[in-house]
Amino acid sequence: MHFGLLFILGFCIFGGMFGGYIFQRIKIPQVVGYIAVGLLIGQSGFQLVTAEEIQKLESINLFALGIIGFLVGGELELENFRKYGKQFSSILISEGISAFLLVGASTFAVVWFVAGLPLSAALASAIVFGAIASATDPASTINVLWEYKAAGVLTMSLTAIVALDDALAMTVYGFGTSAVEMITHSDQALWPQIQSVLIELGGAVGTGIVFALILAALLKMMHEVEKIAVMTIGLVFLIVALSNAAGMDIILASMLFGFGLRNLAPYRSEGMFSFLKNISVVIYVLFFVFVGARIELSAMPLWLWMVVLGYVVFRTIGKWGGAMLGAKISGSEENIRKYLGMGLFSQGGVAIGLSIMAGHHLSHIQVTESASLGELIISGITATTLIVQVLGPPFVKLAITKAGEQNRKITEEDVIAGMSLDDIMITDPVTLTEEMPLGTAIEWFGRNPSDVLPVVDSDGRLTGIFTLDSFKQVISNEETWKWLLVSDTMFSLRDSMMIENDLTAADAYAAMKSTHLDYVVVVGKDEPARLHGLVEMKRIKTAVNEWMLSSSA
Amino acid sequence: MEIQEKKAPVAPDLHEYLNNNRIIIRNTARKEDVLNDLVESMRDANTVMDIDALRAGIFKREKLMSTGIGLGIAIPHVRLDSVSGLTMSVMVVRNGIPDYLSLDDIPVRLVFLLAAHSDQHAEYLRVLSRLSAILKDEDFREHLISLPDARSLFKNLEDSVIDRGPE
Repeated sequence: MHFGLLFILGFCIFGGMFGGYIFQRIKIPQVVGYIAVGLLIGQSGFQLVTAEEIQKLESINLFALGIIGFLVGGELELENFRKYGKQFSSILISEGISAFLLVGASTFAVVWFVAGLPLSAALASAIVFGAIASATDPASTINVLWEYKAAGVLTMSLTAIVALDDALAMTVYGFGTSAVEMITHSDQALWPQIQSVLIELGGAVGTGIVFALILAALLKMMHEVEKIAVMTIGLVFLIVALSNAAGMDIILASMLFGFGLRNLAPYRSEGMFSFLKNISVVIYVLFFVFVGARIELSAMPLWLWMVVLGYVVFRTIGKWGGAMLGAKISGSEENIRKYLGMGLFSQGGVAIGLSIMAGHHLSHIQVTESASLGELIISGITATTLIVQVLGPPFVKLAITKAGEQNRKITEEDVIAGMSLDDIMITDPVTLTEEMPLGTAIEWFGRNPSDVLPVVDSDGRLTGIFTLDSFKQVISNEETWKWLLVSDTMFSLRDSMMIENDLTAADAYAAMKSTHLDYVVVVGKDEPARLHGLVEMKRIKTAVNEWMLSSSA
Repeated sequence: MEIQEKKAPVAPDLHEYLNNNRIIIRNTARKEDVLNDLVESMRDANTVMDIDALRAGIFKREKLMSTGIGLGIAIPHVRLDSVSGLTMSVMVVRNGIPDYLSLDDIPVRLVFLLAAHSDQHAEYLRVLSRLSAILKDEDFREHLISLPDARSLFKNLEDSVIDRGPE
């Protein structure tokens, strides 16, 4: 029976999320769960999802890369580059180049001595594996940082390095494969190769910045977060399509888009970034489930497993050692020197993307009866991805834990989640009656510390709300205060303005967010509604601030 | 409700909520009949979906406190979910309404009934406020009462809304 693409999407999202949940319960970052579910249902598992079907969903993968790039770019503030530029560049170059050299050497050794392939094939493999080894996966690394609410110098450095070393990896890869192609067919000139790399990277940077300028200009006119976020999604689609068509790097272009926007309109884009971060979970899940589903473990010769093993071992040594060395050269803080390298083991989208590109480029070198060098590189890289993705995220977690940077980023919602309704509710609000003259009500309003006065009718039933907005139209016409009543000027009570008294502080906060009002009325469960209390946004804000002050002291 | 408050601060055009068919001129009447007839005149208004609810709302509000606001003016008013937009009817009772209680005990001769949707808070209050302000002028009130027909009453009300500018 064939259920079609929508079924696959639904299955992958639901299954992936469920896998993530299970892994989270056993304290492994969720992204490993997504990949594991992909493995289970994909090529290496029950084959519920076939390679062709995933191929059909290629656009979704490209879009996912775009969104991931955009959000990662949005994490990077220029200020941080200025402040930490020197240590970033030396760490970046040191960890990237160390991984490239060590992995390149080990790959060359295996392919040349063990597999006995020709020199050109050995060199090509060495350069491709080495270049890919220098990349770190921003998506899963940042995912772990978000999941554990990390903040601090190490977190910031990790964010910067993982975002930057993809660019490094792509540069090394671009020049490396150009060199390989020149070795394997010596009829092509060096300059056209360099040109194409420049277009790929330079074009991406330019496109990203142009998109950022456009959106930053729009942000000056628009203020509704939801609308801006949806428009941004549209622009991410466009930048992905454009980059893909023009042969530019998708991740780099969308990263520059996010980066440009964050730094052109840091305040205005803030709400949109956090909104997108929330809704992008579904894209993340799909993306990583597909990564898992593509991996084909059974079609690999023994020497390739040796390449994989060497890759994992030497990449780890190269990244860790290189980061330590770079940190030492730049005189970085202890936390960076000791733990940064541990956070750089993940690889993902870029590595797989580069391997797919290599597979395309190197498909003409036949190394076994059934497979080309290109195909073996794809299998090899997906296998290493699986291993380092299992290895990587827990090490990121370990690094931020060791550096004491986990659970430091606390949001308003987090603090509110720890509060009960009673902590923030006024249990004895001043109430007005419907038949009270407006003049008296305004006088009461002025004396009352709260900005909101519930209104009850003659039977004590809650019927309305009296706020400054209730009477500001007649505030200058004092004559009317004599003959208008509270019932004439109050806002009628709507269901959305009320919550029941057995709910939580978080429910009250969510209710206010959805009505865009600064208050919510708490009522009993019985009909008709009886007033239990009042929750005001300003009191929540005060309570949150007090909590944050006391916890940071 | 917050959206509506962002609209222009000027009261809406009189044409939008009053027409000649809803302007009644009498010599004598009692309060109950005045209110009933003003409500009844709104039966054809496409903004009023439930005439009985409107009647009940007007009388309920009147029970809380009489809407005779002084100077011979009464402004019965109500906001209801079953009214879709601002709607007004007007009655002139030349010899006064003897049983319409008012703040200054001057007999009510001009009655403006205003209905609006529950969420039309800002426009509703703006019209109420503006109406009470333009009717403060004694010459204007006397002139309105002396007019022979609905058409000229409408014209005068319209001119005053335009001439005197926003409150």
